[in-house]
Amino acid sequence: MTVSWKFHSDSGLTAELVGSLAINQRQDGTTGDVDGVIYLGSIEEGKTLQADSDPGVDQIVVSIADSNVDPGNSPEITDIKLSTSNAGLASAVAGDPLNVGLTLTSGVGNKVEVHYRIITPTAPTGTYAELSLNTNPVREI
Amino acid sequence: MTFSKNTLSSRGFSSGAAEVGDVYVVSSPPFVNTIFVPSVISVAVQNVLFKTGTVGAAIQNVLNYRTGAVSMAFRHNVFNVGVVSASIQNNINERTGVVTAAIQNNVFQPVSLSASIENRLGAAALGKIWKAVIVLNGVDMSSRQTGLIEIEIEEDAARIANFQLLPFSGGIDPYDWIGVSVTIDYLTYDSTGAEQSNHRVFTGVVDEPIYNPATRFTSFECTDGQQEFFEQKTKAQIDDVTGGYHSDVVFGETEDLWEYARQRLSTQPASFDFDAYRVGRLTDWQSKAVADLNFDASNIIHESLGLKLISRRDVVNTVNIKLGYRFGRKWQREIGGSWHYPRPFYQYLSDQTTLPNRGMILGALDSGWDIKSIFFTKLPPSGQFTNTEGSQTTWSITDELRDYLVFGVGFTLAKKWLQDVTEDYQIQVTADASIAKHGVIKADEFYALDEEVEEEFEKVSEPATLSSSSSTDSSIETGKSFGYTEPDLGGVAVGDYDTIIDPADRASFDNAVQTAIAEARTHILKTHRANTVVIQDLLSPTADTDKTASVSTSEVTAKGKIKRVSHRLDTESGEALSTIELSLYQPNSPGQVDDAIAVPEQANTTPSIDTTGISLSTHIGGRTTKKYSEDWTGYIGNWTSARTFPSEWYPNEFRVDIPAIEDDARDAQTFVASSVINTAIPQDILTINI
Repeated sequence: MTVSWKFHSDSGLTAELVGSLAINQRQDGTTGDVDGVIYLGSIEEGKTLQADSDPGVDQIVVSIADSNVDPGNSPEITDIKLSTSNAGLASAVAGDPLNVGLTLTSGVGNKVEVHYRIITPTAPTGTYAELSLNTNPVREI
Repeated sequence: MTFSKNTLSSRGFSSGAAEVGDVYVVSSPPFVNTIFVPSVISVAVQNVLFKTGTVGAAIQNVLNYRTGAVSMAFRHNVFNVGVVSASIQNNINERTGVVTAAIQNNVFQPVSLSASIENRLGAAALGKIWKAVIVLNGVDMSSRQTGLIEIEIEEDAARIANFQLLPFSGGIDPYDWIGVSVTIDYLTYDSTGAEQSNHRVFTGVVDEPIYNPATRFTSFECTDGQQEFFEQKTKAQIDDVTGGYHSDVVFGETEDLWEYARQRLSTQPASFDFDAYRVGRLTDWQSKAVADLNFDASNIIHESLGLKLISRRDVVNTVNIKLGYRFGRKWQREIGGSWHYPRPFYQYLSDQTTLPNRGMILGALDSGWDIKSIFFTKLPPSGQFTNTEGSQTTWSITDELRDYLVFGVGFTLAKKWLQDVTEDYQIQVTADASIAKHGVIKADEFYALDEEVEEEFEKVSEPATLSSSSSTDSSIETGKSFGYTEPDLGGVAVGDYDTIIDPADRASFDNAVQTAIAEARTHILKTHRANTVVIQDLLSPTADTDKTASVSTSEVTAKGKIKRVSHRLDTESGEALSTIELSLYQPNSPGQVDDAIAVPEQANTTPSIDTTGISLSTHIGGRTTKKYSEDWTGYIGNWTSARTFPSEWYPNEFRVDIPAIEDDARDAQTFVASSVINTAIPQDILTINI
């Protein structure tokens, strides 16, 4: 049984985020930081989501993963900031995971906003697909 | 209630406000405390404080003994802490039946949700804004499109497209979508919204619309209809489109035009598919000298480069073709013989012997051969003739007897038969450059072509059909069999008596050989281009299977024909990528010889036959002691007068011994021919930089 919680690209939770978040930046950094938001939520009724490690006690955490195909010469987790609001990105620590709650409830109104800020990576010109946002193991009830 | 009186000695005492139910003490020096029974009457307590000092006061307790007990009522409120109990009333009603309870197990598997991030740094298409324009049945449906658009392009296959449209208002009849036209264009814009490029990436028809009642989305699976394209053509039209070879001997007969087209394509190192506008094109597998598309680190998605080399097990560098060409060789033998009475007529006139008759001779010739021609020498007609002694003798004979008796005969016999001849061709198609690299890795193919045999050819005409042109005035009468036919044109004379005729039209055989060689050659080439390099880049709308692409990275340098392209456009994430697969010939060996597809030199099937003619002699009994022999041929008779004794008396017969047909001309024969055809492996570029 799959978890109904998904990352979505729209606030109405109608567009499940499939594929990658494509971030275009000039290699010389002139593009600047790129901000965006994705939505974590479920449109099913009567569901809750908790951390699998200790449901209701441990936080559901969205963290940045790096498959590190070319460490030091490709995007790193410190190139991304996370926050539950755009304003919070300013004070967020790059690379830090984001706690989104002990228990999440389904429904469009209960979605969690995951704001990100992509800092231009220090990497050669190219297209990289090694970073991702991931939750810790969760269970849906 | 019992009352008591206490007298206390005290330095002071104060009391708060009196309340009903309390005990009150009233003290005054001398302290006499009188304990009253509480009542509803309140008593003011007056405390009078005196100066400090030592005040002695005798305390007189006057105790009046009364019976009874002093008691105070206490009210205890006792609570049960933490345990709430409730009585449970079970009403058990006895009923019959089965009690069921549904059990719902909710089993959860913890998962981590994930969203990948794609960083594009300094790519050429930086800032590109794209849009997919989908026109369905002439109507622009782009605004309804949602989710993924996928387009698959592959050599020799139909171009496939999938996309999904948002719900329509009103009734939906997905069946109406089947077969309607579809085009997909890929447009890019700059940061100001100005159109930068517009490329058609798909033209086709809806193959299957799928309506999802839950989401109300309609998915469309579309095809360019390559298979249908061929199925609506004739074989001749397909020949024009695909080229190549086809032989029923190699592939078997088929009326499946799609299969027929694919069989033709399997005989040439090229692919047929439609372009983005649904126009067919045949593209050679060999890459162009200059690549149409160039990919390097600037446009290849990081770490998307993939390389797959062929497995030795999948390589074929030698194909042994055995093709048997079997036909019925037509033999026609015409062999002549003659017999003439061994003495001049004047001697016969003086001293006669028996003579053969026509029936006797024709009977002797009735041995499964046709009589092509025959002539009989008659006895002279009645008249005066000089005999041996030099005197005139009257010779009297009826015309009937002249026609009956034979003084000499000449004939030509003819026979036709079929010989089973097989030309066994052993053709080896090789790729020497690969053999040098991998050793021989072979495959064997067997084919057979049987020409239709005319069984009627061997049919013998009946001697009774002999016709004759007779003239009583002539000493010669000729005859000719009705059944005899002249040999077909194109026959080859063998020896003095025989003509052989083989199938004049070897086009089917030649085509079968060429097809078999071409298919083997193509198969070899195909296994040597199974090396692939795969890259992923931002959508490249011009990438197609008719293009040559080069890849240049620090790890791999390659150039080859594009074998497969997969476009993936995600209108939700903004991802628009192309996965491009190059097919590369290997090994790369210079100086290879590429032999043409040629029919091997025909096997020498000319027979060497030594046939002897028909020998006829004369044996006359009655004056000889020579024993009769069944080996005698010709006329065997006797003297009609002056028999000597002892002497042998022979049966009157005419015997013809027709030489038997030699085994080499009768039995099935197989002739072997062989050839070797080398295939050059085209030169693509594949360098792995370690």
